[in-house]
Amino acid sequence: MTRFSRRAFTKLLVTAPPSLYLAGLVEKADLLQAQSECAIPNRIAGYTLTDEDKILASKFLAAQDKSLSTLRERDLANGLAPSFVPVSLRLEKREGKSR
Amino acid sequence: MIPVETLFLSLSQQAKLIKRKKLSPVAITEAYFNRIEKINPRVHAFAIVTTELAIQQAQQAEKEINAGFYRGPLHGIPFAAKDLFAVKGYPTTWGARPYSYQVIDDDAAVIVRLKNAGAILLGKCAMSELAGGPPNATATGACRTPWDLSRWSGGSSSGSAAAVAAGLCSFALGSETWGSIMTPASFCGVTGLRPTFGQISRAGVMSLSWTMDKVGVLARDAIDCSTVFDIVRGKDSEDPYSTDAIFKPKYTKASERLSKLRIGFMREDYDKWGEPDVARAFQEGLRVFKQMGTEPVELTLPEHPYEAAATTIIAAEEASAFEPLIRSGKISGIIDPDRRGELLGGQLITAVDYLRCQRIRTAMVQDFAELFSKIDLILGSSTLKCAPPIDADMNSIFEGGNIIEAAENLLGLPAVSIPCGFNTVRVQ
Repeated sequence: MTRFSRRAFTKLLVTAPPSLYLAGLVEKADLLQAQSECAIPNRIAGYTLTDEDKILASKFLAAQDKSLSTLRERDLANGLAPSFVPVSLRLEKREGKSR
Repeated sequence: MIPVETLFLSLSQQAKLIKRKKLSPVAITEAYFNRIEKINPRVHAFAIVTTELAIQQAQQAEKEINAGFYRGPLHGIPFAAKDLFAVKGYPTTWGARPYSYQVIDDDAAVIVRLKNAGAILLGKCAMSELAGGPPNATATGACRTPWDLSRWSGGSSSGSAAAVAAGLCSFALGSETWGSIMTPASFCGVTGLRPTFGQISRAGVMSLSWTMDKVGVLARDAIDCSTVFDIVRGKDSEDPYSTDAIFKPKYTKASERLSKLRIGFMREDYDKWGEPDVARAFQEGLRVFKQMGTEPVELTLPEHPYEAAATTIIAAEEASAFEPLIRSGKISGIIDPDRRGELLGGQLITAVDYLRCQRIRTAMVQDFAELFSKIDLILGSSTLKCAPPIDADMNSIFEGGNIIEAAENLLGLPAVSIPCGFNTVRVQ
């Protein structure tokens, strides 16, 4: 079975359902190596992940990686601070006028 | 014996009858319970009924009203709440098997406000597992739209919308992080209000995303939603994000005010992401607005990666909120495999990526402030598709389009979903 590059594995994880791997279409050793490349640890928050958990987490992260790719390429101004909680500027203005 | 039509009256109509002592709070409560017993096994709208509490509240309301002490428009009105609002003495399951026996020994702030207004809690409504996931990912069975029991009611406020549509309560509380009021309101043909972020306290409500969760209302019409909203809204010391704001709806000169509104609308790619019936219904809605003297103008949203930012923020925050679930190993009880992957994978999102999304959110707020200096409101489709069959692949149903829903939720903007017709198989 072919060893996957991270990019190829990421693409596979995004396009294929976890059942593909659970059904044995990818060998476990290849899968675990690829997961290792995707940096899925054996334990998260003190919980030991099963093989299925690792596949599911990998699938999510691969999709996440893809959706964030254009976002990561964007240069943000140094002074652009995070919002955390959205504030409607218009609402504040209206409150100020007590309408 | 109360006729079934009374159970479908709007809240304001029921309130008038109750105030004039022509409708008994005890009788209408019993009538709703009889209907729940008959209808709920097919719709799966209620997860828990709070019979003992409701009867006690109804008797108290009746006694007070008969003694001339009328509290206001919700006095004696039966309602339901999504099963993520804590109610003392009853389970609060969050729609998930690992929390099936969870009892929170306090009432959510919004439940307290409704109790003080004299409203009667009939029960807790079914919801998607931890407020997300496909129809069958719930502890109480897939909730169905009353218009067609082979189809989904939408999520995650699944039971709240279905209960209102089926005439099982007068109004219901729901919540939305991203689509959880708008979608079921649309699939069930009821009115859904998602208020501005922070307008209704979330104390005692399950947290999914602290910076995106909103409490809202599902009811028969917009006036009913505004009646409930006006009573439950406002600052609460238990929710640091809650705020007070001016809210003065004026119905008497609605048509006069409407013609002055600057309205924008979104032209979605229905051919690619939606259904022709939804496109037709939206065009008809636009025509009605034009008939009322408005001149809606087509607009495009400022370009931003709304969906990527919303997904990342929600995943990171829910991974933190549900860390105890992961640590306990009870995450294995989560039905939807994709959700398990999201909760586990969310733990590995980097702080830099999370902050990047929050910083882009600031840029979005600035761009939308500019947009709303030119328009007052935006018309759009709550969903681009009609209620899907229960066993449909939801990933494909909700794939693409409707970018504005991600934008609105990131920005904490309010929205109202109003019924806009039926498709060829009579589903909203």
